[in-house]
Amino acid sequence: MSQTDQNPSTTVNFKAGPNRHQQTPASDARIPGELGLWIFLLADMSIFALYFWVFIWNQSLHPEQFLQGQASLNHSLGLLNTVILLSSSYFAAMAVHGARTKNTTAFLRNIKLTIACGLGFGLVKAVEYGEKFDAGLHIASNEFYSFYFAFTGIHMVHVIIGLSLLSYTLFSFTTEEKIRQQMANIEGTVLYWHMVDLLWVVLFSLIYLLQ
Amino acid sequence: MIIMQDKRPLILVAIVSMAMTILLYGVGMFLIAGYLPPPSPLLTEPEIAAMYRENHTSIIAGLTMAFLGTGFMLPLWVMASVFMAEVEEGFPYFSIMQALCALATTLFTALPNLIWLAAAFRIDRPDELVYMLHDLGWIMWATPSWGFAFQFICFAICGLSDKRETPFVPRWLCYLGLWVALCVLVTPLVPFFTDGPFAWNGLFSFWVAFISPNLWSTLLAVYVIKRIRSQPSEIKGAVNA
Repeated sequence: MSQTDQNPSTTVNFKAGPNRHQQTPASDARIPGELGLWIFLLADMSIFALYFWVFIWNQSLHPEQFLQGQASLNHSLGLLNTVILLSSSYFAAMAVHGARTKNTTAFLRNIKLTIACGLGFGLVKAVEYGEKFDAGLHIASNEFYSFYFAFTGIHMVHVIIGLSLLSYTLFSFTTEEKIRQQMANIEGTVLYWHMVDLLWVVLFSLIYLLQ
Repeated sequence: MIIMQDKRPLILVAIVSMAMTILLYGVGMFLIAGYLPPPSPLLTEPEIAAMYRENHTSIIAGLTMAFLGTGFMLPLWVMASVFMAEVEEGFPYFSIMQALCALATTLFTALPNLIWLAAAFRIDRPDELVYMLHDLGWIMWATPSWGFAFQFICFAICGLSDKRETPFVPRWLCYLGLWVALCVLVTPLVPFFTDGPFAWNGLFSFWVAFISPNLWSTLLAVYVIKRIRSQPSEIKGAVNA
């Protein structure tokens, strides 16, 4: 995420618990977040990997239905949402950079932009769902739409959780001192948001594009 | 640590109670009634009615045993709330929330057994009524995951807020609890499907949503037992210090 994290000579150093909050992150070469958080992220991504496998397996069982389903999706809105989430990840990374360089204004501005992107994603998703409902398509229409609504819906819940965490960060960590103390929580929130972004990129490729 | 030493008998009671739940519920539902893994929602009305008639006694025995087992779920969760309340210091919101959600989880685990017992109670009950009670029981068993999810979220919030030198639960277990809350997220999709991974016997609604909390509970039990066994030396160390 930051230059310190990308240094190949960085020593892997997980520090969990209350004491790790007191370190000065900008001068500490380490992996952001804590061990437990990474376990959570990997476990959640494993479940999504299972979703992806089930989708591909069912696609092989009903190739015609999945082709028709993919063709009926609004690819422009899907692509727009991908761009929105990728932008949000950039702003989230810049927010962490602002926090590490003690630039509170940049930190808060980038958190707000990340939240705005998240809300934009939700709005576009609502429009897309609305199109499908208007066309009489719903979760029980066929296998393809079962997976489309279920997987994108579960992902949307992840987005809502991420937006809640980002909003808490925005309203609670407003001073330089508070940001320094809560660096681990800020990094954790942003890591989670990156995972949400990554999962969407795979979901978009799989549901909208992969034939 | 000395405080925990005082609670040790109650902690052991809580662990033994959960072991009783696993034994009674597991043996009753899996081995005697044959209810786990769940029967397919695709089974027809005559097939379901025949299942209840042909296995009348074993279904009643297994389900009654499992129902009794659900009563032993609460001591461990109440114990969890007590430890959480220590972290919350005088405003035990999440502790009480966890305990209430545990009660909801217990009820939603126990009540389906009574509904299935009602289905099995009279052999001459019309097939369509047996079929309806069977569906009602499974939808009630598989769909409501919110109590369970809130339990894990409350537990994780308190665990991650614990700033003491030796927190009551390791942070990684709290994060894993949050993962379990996400794993059970899919169960409200159960009423939409009679087949596939989101049906009540499906990969996500049953296998993932059933195995992940049990995996977490096993890890918690191992951690608690290890901590209790290591306690005398810790106390000795604390006294020497």
